[in-house]
Amino acid sequence: MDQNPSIESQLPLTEATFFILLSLAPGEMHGYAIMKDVRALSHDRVVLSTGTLYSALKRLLEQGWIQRSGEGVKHFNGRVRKAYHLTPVGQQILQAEIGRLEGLVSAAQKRPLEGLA
Amino acid sequence: MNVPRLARLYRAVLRLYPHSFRTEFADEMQAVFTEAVDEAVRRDLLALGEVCLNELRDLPASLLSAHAQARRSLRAAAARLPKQLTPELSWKQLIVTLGVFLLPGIVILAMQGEGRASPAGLLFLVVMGVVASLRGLRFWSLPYMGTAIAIAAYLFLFQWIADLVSPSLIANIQPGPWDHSTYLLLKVISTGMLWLMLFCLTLLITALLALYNRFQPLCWRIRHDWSLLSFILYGETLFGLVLLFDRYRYEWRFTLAGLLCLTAGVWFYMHAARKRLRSLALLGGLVLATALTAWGAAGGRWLALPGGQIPLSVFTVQSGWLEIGRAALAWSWMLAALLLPGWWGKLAGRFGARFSAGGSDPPRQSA
Repeated sequence: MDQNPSIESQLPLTEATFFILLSLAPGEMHGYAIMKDVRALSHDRVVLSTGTLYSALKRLLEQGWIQRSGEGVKHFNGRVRKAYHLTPVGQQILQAEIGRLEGLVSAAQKRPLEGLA
Repeated sequence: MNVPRLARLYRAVLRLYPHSFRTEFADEMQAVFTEAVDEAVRRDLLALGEVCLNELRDLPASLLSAHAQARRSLRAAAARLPKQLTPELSWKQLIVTLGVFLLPGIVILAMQGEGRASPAGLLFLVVMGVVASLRGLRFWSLPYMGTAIAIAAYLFLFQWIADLVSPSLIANIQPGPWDHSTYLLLKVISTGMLWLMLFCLTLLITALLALYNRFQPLCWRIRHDWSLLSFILYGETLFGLVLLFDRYRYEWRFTLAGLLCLTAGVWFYMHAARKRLRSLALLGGLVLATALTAWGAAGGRWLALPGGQIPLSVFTVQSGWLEIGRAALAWSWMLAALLLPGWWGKLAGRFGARFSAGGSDPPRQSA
């Protein structure tokens, strides 16, 4: 796959980063929804705490992979929620990582694995 | 389990995060945590325990990550600061910078040499020190920092170090059992110990300040202009000057003149565009100040200041030369201490550009 070298240099992603980007792929989402979606996507394997989630979100904001959805604050049940969405760069990074993982799986499927349980 | 109580506890934990991180995310994190706890409480106690344990488990790592991110952002911001670090000062900032040298002079003038250790002066120094720390030790506060270090070191450290080396060596230096050359050597060592200790202490304090985000811009600037360290040490020479006049109450005019010379040095330092000129300004102020000190200590017999009445009967030729020698010795060590940062900067620059700005002086920029 012909990829931008600068995107390749960002790979591989950590699991938490990958799942956060994946959960934002369909559209914008607020913090708590991201936490729940990541847990569901990973089948309870990756459980993000608020500290881990927002440290990751801060890093992704600084890298320009995600953006806040406008400056407006959405209120549900009187609580403050800010939504995030992927930027074009974030989409490219996610696609590149999915392509990398597909390549790994494809390589594994081509190898006979009779000896493995 | 009381959800509001948990939320309050979480709010307290959030204070462990860096200020910039809290400003950006604290409200969101609070809202997300409260929502997670609400949902867990609707399920069962086990779910609530899981939420809390999850937060606790990840807290150390996320704190480290957040603080590391904040530090990186601060360093990036500090790197964008202008390398020229004597900004254009307003007249208020100028007066405040000169204040540490002018205030003792005003006190001496008002009291005509009596009651040097004015409580009001010390209180002023403490207040300025607190204000300076809260503002991240801006340029104007550096001489105050130097004076405070010198006073604290003299009161609490010097005697301890002297006792550590040898109680009799330092505390009992006087002519008598030793010949003149041994006495001179011991005086050189004792005076040198004081100023080298002050230099090392200043370096140590500056290095410790680098651990705090608030003082990162100052530390970055010192790394790019070592004359700032000399500026801090210049504040310490003020204390040295006062010590030199400690025994002679009637030389207050010489003390005052010496303080004005130090003030002039600061003035020229702040208005010099080039690093060398800034260093020369400090050295010039120090040379003039200690020359006047030596004059006064010698009884001013060659040129009396107007209105001065020095009881010449107190002085002998020998004691006059002795006091001139004492002042010259102190001057030599103070000079060495002021020059050390510049030499260190050149040495560091040879081993790596990242330790020193080097090269030509950048243009002056406004604050």
